[in-house]
Amino acid sequence: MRIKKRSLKLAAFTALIAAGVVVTGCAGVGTAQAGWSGVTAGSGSVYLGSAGGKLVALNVENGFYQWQENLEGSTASTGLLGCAGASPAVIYATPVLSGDTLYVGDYSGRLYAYNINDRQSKSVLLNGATSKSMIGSPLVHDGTIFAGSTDGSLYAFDAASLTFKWKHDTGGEIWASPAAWQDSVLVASFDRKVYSLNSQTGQPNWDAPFECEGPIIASPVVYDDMVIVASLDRHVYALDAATGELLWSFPAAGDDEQAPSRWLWAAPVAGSGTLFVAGMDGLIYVLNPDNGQLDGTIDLEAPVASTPVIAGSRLIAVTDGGRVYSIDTTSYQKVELRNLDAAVSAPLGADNGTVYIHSVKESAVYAVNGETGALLWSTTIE
Amino acid sequence: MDIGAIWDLIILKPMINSLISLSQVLWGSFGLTIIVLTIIVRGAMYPLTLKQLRATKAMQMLQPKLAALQKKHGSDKQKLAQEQMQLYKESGVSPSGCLLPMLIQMPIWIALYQAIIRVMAVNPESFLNLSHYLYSWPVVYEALPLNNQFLWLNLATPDFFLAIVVGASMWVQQKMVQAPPVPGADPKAQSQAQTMTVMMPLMFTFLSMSFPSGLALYWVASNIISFVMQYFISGWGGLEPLKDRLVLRISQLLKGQGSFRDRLSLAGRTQVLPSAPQAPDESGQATGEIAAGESGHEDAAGAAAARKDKAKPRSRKGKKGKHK
Repeated sequence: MRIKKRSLKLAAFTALIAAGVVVTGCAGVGTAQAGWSGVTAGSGSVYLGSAGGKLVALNVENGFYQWQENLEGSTASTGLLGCAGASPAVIYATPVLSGDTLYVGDYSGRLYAYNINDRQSKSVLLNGATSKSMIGSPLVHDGTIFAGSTDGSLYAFDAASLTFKWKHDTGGEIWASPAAWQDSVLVASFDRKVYSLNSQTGQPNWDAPFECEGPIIASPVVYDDMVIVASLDRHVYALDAATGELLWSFPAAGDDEQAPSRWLWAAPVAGSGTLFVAGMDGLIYVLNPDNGQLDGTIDLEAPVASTPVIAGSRLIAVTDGGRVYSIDTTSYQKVELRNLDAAVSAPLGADNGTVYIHSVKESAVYAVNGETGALLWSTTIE
Repeated sequence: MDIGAIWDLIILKPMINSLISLSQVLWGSFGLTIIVLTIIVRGAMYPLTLKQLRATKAMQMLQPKLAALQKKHGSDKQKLAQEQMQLYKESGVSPSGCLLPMLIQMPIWIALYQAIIRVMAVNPESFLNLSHYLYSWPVVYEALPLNNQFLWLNLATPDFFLAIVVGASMWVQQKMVQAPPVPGADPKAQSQAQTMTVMMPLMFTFLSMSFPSGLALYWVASNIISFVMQYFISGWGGLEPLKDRLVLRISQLLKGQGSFRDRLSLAGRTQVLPSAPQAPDESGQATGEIAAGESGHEDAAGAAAARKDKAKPRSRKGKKGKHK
């Protein structure tokens, strides 16, 4: 009897450990992967990539579903001997609308072009049959679509046919969306460099790429013939768009006292002749674009990962806990519009004074009046 | 402040930032950083580990006496408990002696494990989440993201070969901790210990097949440090018989190689005839395969003789009380 009891205990213990192995093995490690696609508005609809790997279109007036499409890409099987199975597509890139075509990329490295009228689509893998990913949004400029990949290359395709045109290799992953200036495309990479390339040929424009101290995740912003870049080294740099020459940096070299204490994840935003840079330290840094001098800071008391937007005369920013703030771009006065109580890391979208906020964790989209903070509608995404 | 925030503040954040800062010293190699930090943390925990191993060994030595007490007072729980406490007191062994050091070390191992997962940042969300744990040290910001390539490994993805190494190293470590069979020890306890020696390595092998190889690297490093420590404290432990067999086998093989060379050198002078099938002798071995090479024949004949001796009928020793 005693032997049986001990054997049973051992069997139960072994089964418990085995179950634990299978569960954790199938669940994997690290933060769950869901994407952080922002919202694009246009042609009477708002478009986004959902956590379930779908391209979704909602009515801009009331948030009702118009259509949704499953993206064909999927992430590789994970977990113990692949027991967790392949997951649906994960979408980090915000869709981009150009005319009647909606472009979006997913984590499997596939770039899609959807006609918003008949939903005919075509797609192309950025890098053949590799498992490299698209994280930043693509850019459409001069009939060409540009997409950065985690394989470190910027790809250029014909926007209509998705025919490959050229690619340019950098030394690190590309998470930032490219930006355009005249006939150039600007791209920032994990290799700590900013590149300016001819949009037709992919040849470098500058003598050498600009190099900083940390990788760059935030998309470069073009303002007044300057390229403004926020780096994970907690500096903001302003470069001459034509030559790549450094015009100023914030904080200035050697002056680290003013430096943000945490990462600059969100892209800078220009409005009313001022630059606003939101940091993971909860501060929005207000900079003079002429010389990079700090004009002030606005304390939101919580990290800001999503890129703010300008709606009218106000800057709308959302903290990672879902608090929505409206900031006067002249007086820098902040007003808390509402608390969504939802995790937000996706970039914000804005159109006609309405701000669109996608909380991937809550699987919901919110439309908020940028002036009054009134919640116009909210929709749960399947 | 909740317990999670306290954990992050006191243990996890220091571990994460140490991991990242150390990588800057080690040429940006995350793999090397994992190994070195494991060594540093194990080194710092050495006094506790030493105490734990010694307590474990002392408990193992007491097993026969405990088994005898169990046999003597099995039905009287109170008396058994009294006698056991008396035994512990007399021998100076504490039942919790091996448990307490392990409990103190557990948070450090958990923190190191969590730190490795977070710093590896297997997906973009994990990388964003990492920002919540970073100190505002310039060295930390300049180091990220860390290089996940180490030798042939991508530390953010599983590796089959390394998973096997995890299992093998864990098996060696378990074997060393296990005491060689002691006369009078509880056979059931020994059998259960044997089962765990196989089950735990198997489980960790399967775990390693799904977890990032950075974690597997940490387990391998930790296991290797464990059996180096174990060796210096209490020798080969349960590996002793295996080690002896291995040494014997190697020496036999080396001897065997010498005779093979001699056979080759004689091959030109001696014709080896195919042997006709022969009835096996008393040893049950056919001797036809023994070829005519002189020095080879000597060893082979010796081996055959040894087998013959083995096969000789042994005198029966009846158990007491069974034969009337």
